This record gives sequence, structure tokens and C-alpha cells, in this order.
Amino acid sequence: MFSLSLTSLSYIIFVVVFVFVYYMVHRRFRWIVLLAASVLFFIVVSGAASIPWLLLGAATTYAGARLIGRMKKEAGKRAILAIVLVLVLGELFLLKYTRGLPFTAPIAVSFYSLSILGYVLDVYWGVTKAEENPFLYLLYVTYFPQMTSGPVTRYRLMQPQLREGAAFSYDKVKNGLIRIVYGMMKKCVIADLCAVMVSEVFGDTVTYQGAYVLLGVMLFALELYADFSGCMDIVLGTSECFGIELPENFDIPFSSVTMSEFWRRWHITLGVWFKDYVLYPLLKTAPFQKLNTVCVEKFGRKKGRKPATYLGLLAVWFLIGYWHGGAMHYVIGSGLLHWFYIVSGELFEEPVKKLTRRLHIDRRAKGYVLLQRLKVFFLVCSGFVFFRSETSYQACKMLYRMAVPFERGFFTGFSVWKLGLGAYELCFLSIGCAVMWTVSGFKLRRRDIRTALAGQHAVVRYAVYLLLCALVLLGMMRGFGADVSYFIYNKF
Amino acid sequence: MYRESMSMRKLFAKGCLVLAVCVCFTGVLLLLSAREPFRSVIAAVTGSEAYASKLDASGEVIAYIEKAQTKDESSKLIVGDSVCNSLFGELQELNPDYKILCCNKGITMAGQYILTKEYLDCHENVTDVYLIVISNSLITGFDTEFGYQYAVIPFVRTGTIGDLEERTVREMKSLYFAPFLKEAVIEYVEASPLIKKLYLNAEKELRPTVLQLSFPDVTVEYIQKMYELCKERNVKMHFMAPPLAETDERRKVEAVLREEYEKSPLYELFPNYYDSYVYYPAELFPDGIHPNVDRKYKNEMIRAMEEKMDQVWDLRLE
Repeated sequence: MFSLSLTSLSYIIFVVVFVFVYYMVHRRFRWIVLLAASVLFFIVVSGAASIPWLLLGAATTYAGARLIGRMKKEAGKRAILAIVLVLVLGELFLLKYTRGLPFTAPIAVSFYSLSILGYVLDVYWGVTKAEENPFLYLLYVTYFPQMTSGPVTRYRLMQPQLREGAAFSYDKVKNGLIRIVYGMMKKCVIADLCAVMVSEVFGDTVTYQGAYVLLGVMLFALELYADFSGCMDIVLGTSECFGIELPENFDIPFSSVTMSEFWRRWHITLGVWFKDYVLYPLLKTAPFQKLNTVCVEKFGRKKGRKPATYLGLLAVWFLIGYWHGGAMHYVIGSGLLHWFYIVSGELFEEPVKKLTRRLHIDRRAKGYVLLQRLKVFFLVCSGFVFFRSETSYQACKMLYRMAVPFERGFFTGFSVWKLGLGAYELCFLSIGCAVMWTVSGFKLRRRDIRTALAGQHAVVRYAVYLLLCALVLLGMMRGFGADVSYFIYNKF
Repeated sequence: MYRESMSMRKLFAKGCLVLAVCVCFTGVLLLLSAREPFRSVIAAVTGSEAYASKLDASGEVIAYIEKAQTKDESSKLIVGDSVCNSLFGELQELNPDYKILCCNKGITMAGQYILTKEYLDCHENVTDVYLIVISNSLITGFDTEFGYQYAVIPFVRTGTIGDLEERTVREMKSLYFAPFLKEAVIEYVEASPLIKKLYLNAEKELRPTVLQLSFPDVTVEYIQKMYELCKERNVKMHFMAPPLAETDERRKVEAVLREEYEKSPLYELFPNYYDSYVYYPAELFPDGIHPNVDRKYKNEMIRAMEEKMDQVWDLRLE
């Protein structure tokens, strides 16, 4: 009966009530309010039955880190680290990749598992100290804004903020609330309306072929971005209300001109986590060092370092794909395919540079940049086909159908632009997209739209706020009764 | 500290202002959603167009109540659920002696009672009343799935809610919220697909329908009332079941319900209800409930019902 979905009215009430209580109590005790809110949120969303699993992960890493912190011998530390890794990864594997379990897995298990693993590794490497207060550590694990789809956080950045509590800041709370509403708009208007069109195309592969499939895939890219980044806006906005800064997960990814840049802008915290905790340690291992030495001797210092890096990246991208769900279409679509694009991009970088120089093409010209962005967008879309499909076979079939020649009626018939939506709904979607693109435009120029808005006349400011609220209200009414409250990344 | 509390007040005041404007916006939107030309635009944007067509649900029951109230030469009444309708619905034209009024189970037994009462009030020389329902209809009380559209709206709009007991109306008021039983509100709900969508879904979310293998009070009470009404008017009442699909699940459910039935006061009035069950191969029931066979086969099913209940009908089947 009581839903705490991020786009529900009850979530807003939940946040407002706890923000009020949070700032009402003394700063020293504010973390306790957050812990109470987080535990309540977890019980409502995930169910009390999954608490033991959460506690198991939290207790294992807490105790493991404490022991590592106390031990002086390296071998002992390593043994404890190995035990903790086996237990946490074993729990993750059991809960996420084993089918037909008689119990429900806790929400966001893949996200908080990475966070707690990162914490133990940081303690092992001496980057951070082991936390003494088990309840403060439990707050880090259960901190409710990130308990749906991340971001993957670092303990050393979170701990001081959680422990000390934030002083009330009018601007922070206001900006946080605006960001929550903006995120809801992205989800309820853009993602949910695009989802109708995407389901139409992906659900009827007989009728829709050629350009229709391409359009469907492009719309899915828009849906996924609005869905996931909208979720992140709600999460980060909520945290901002409590004065706690979470790391950004998106940085206008579709403005990227290379695939590597795209992955520095899309799901940033996941990429950084795998880089810091998998790639770099992997490259330091003996076999990789040996490969590095051999290649450097053979191909020189610059080129010789690449094979080991690419091999390390292959392992990382395989794991990222596998992390998404274990199925082959995730391993390909969210992993290996992107590794291939990134490595090819790097290998062809020099020849392309030479070619453009020879052809006197200005690589900074707007047209060239736009072409690069389009290239990245379509490459990413090809990966999303696997991500959206049920199986790799279906994804290949969709890609094949894209290659079927365009139908004549595609550009002449107006019906193509609807794909399950009416004219009014399309207008509604367009307004949502216009708002999102305006905000992205500000971000692209490294300006915060909320700061820019604050300098405007009150009429303009409130007109914008009310437009946002109106869009969200209409979007919420649209989604009410239909099962649209779940975010795509909630399942990971 | 003082500055902090001042800025908190400022935020609170501004938040209240934005909230008030949002409430006003929602209010205006809801008001406009019942009036053209905004109605269709708002319905399209809020994805509530499908709820405009759901107006037919109450219209369907209202038509049945009006039919029951229409005086004619018929002297026998068949009331029942949608399974009954699939068997007997097509026979109305061939049988002017009969009035066949079978509709969705959402009408509940209170609705079947209203149909019977209205029919008996408007017809003289009535000899028989047949109540033909499967057990799914018997376990259906007022719920948030169908009840508002199939029971509340038609009962209020036709004024037949007055035929029901005070405690039944109280039950309806507590389940559907008293204001939503007022005619003016119902008219608004009927006119606005958006309000209908929000109301019906909020109801479903707040009070999800949980189907139980037992007979709700409304079933027991109103079948008894039908029996007493018929007895008072010297009309013979028959209570039987239409054909059922032969599945293990169905057999198990019916075994539980039969036990329940035998414990209820209905058993004393109609001890043969469960004996009237005739099972047919499951493949004849694509949805597991309604038989999808040709007329000839349906007639055979009706004859089998006759035989089972040792009942001779003068129904013309072809």
C-alpha cells in the first residue's frame, strides 16, 4: 500500500519530513536521523526479509576492515581481505546471479556491494582508516538516497559528511528540491513517454523494420538517459537537501566525441570504481607487468604499454558487462562491444589525425565535432540494442532489421513519429525534451542553471519552477496506475 | 542560529507558496478535465483516454436496470453473471416470455437483488426467477476492481440504491468514500477520464482487492432477500450454476467453496446448487471461465443444466 518509489508523492513527503527532522536536531545527532530514515526506507522498499543480507555484507566488511586495521603482518591482512572479498562477492553472486532463490535480494545489492568492497580495499591499502562506529558505517551502507541505483560512493568522501552533519543552507535545500523535481520530470515525462514508443518497436519486430528500428533504438538511448540520469538527479537532489554531496554520475554524455570520453561521462562512478579497484591493481600484477616489459622491449615505450592496458581493459569491460546481470547480451552490450569501440578508437586515433591534417580538416570545427558526436551516439546505440533486448540473438536480429532498406512511407507518413503516442503526447514529450536540452546546454558551457535562474526576476524564476512542477504533475498523473514507477537501473 | 532559523522560515514560506500554486494547478486541471475541449487534450496527455470508454461499464448495468423496469408480457426472469450471459444472452429475441438480464459479476448479489426487485415491482403474474451464476460471482462482494463502476454508479444513478439495506450502503460508503456516492460527484467522475483514472487507481492502491474463498455477507444476505421476496410474491426461485471448465484448480476451488456453502444459510434454501455443476473440457473455455462454442453446443449445455436440475424449461433454443 505504501510505496516509496522515487517518483511518488510519498517519496517527496518522506524526504520533506526527514529534512525537517534532520535540521531540527543538534548537528551531532543528525547522522542518527539519517540512519533512521535509511533503515525505514530500506524496510519499506526492499522488505524486512532482506535485512539479514544487508547486515551480513555490512558486518563482514566492518569487521574485516577493523581486523585489517589492527593487524601488523601483511600476510594476515591479505588473508582477511581474501575472506572478506570471497564473502561479499559470494553474497553478491548468490543474490544477483542465482535464479529461483526462495528469498528476495535486497535492493541495490550490486551498488552497495561495490561501495563496501571499495571501503575494505581502501583500508587494506591504507588510503582510509577503518571505521570504529558500526552504526555510522551502517549509515554509509544504507544511506537511503543511493539505495536505489547508486552512485557508487567512496567511504573517505562520505564519512566526514555523514558524521559531522551539515548546517542548514537555504540554497542547498532549495537547489536539492529543484533537482528532485527536474529528475522526476525526466523520468515521468521523457523516459516514460519514450518507453511507450520503444516498446512498440521492440515488441513488434515484424511490422517495424529498417529506419523504424533505428528510430526505436535512438529513442531507447534517450529513454535510458532520461531514466537513469533522472533517477540520479532525484538521488543527488535528495542528498543535497541533507547537505551531503554525492558524486555525479552523468556529465552530458552525448556531447562526447570519443567512446572513451563517453564512458568518462556516463555512469561515471561505476567506471571510476572499476578503474581504481580492478584495472590499476590488475595492471600491477606480475603477469601484466611481465607482459608490459616484454612489449615495451619489443615495440618501444609508448606503443609497448598498450597491449597490457588493453588486456586489462578487456577484463574490466567483461566484468562491467557481467555486473549488469550476468546474461550474454549484457556482457556484449554493456561490456565487450564498448571495449572494442574504445580500443579501435585509440588504435585509429593517430591515422585519423594524420588524415584530417592532410585533408585540411579543422578538428575543432563545429561540423566535425558534431559528426564525432553523432558517431559516438550511434556506436553507443548499437550497444544499447543488446542492453534492451532479451537475448543476444534478438539484439542481432534487431541490428539486422536496421539494415533492411528504408521504407518509402517512413519519411512521408506522419504516423511514424507517433509510434503509439498521440499528437498531444508528442507535444508533451517535446516540452520535456526542450527543458532537458536547455539544462544540458547550460551544463555544456559549465554553468549551473539553478545559479543562473537565481539571478533572474522572481516572475521568470517562479514561471520556470511552476512549468517544471506542472510537467511533473501531469507526468505523475499519466503514470498513476501503470507500472512505470520503476527505474531501469533499479534491477541492477 | 538565528540566521539559520530565518532562512528555514523563508524556505518554508516559499515552499508553501509553490505547494499552494501546485494544488491550485491540480484543482483547475481536474475541473477542466471534465469539460470539452480540454477533456480530450488532458485525457490524451495524462494517458487516461481508456477510462473514457470505461463509462460503458455503468451504462451497461443501467441499461439492465431500465430493462427490468420496462413493463412487458414476460413472466419469467433470468438473472446471472457474464457466463450466464454467454449462454442465454442471445436467446432473448426467441423468448418474449422471459426477461434475460445477465451482466458482469461486479454487480454483486446486491445488484442481482435490485434487478429482481425492480422486475417484480413492474411485472404482474411472474412465475419464476432463475439466478444462474458460477461461484466466482458468489465470492465477489463490493471490491475496488469492478464495484464502483458496475454497482455504485448504476445504483446511484437509477435511484435503486434505495432498494438496499442501510448497512449495505454504509459498507459502500466506507469502501468507496462517501462523497463518491453522491450523484453530483459521480457525474463529474463519469465526465472526466482523468478523475476516473486517478480515483479508481487510488482506490485499487489503497484497498487492493483480495479474493477469498468464502462468501461475503452481501452474497448471503441478498440471495436470502431474493428468496424471501420471491416467496412473498408467490414466485418460484431457482438457483443454479452455468457450465464450468474441467481443471484440477477449478475442482479444488469448488471443493473448498462447497464446504463453505454447506455451512452457510444458503444451503438450507438451495441445497442443490452444487449438484447443478456440469463440467466440460477445459479447451472449450479459452479464458477458463466463459465457454467459447457455437450456439448448438451452448444449447446442449442448457439442456444438460435442465437435466441436472430436473427442471423443465419452456425456453426456445432455436
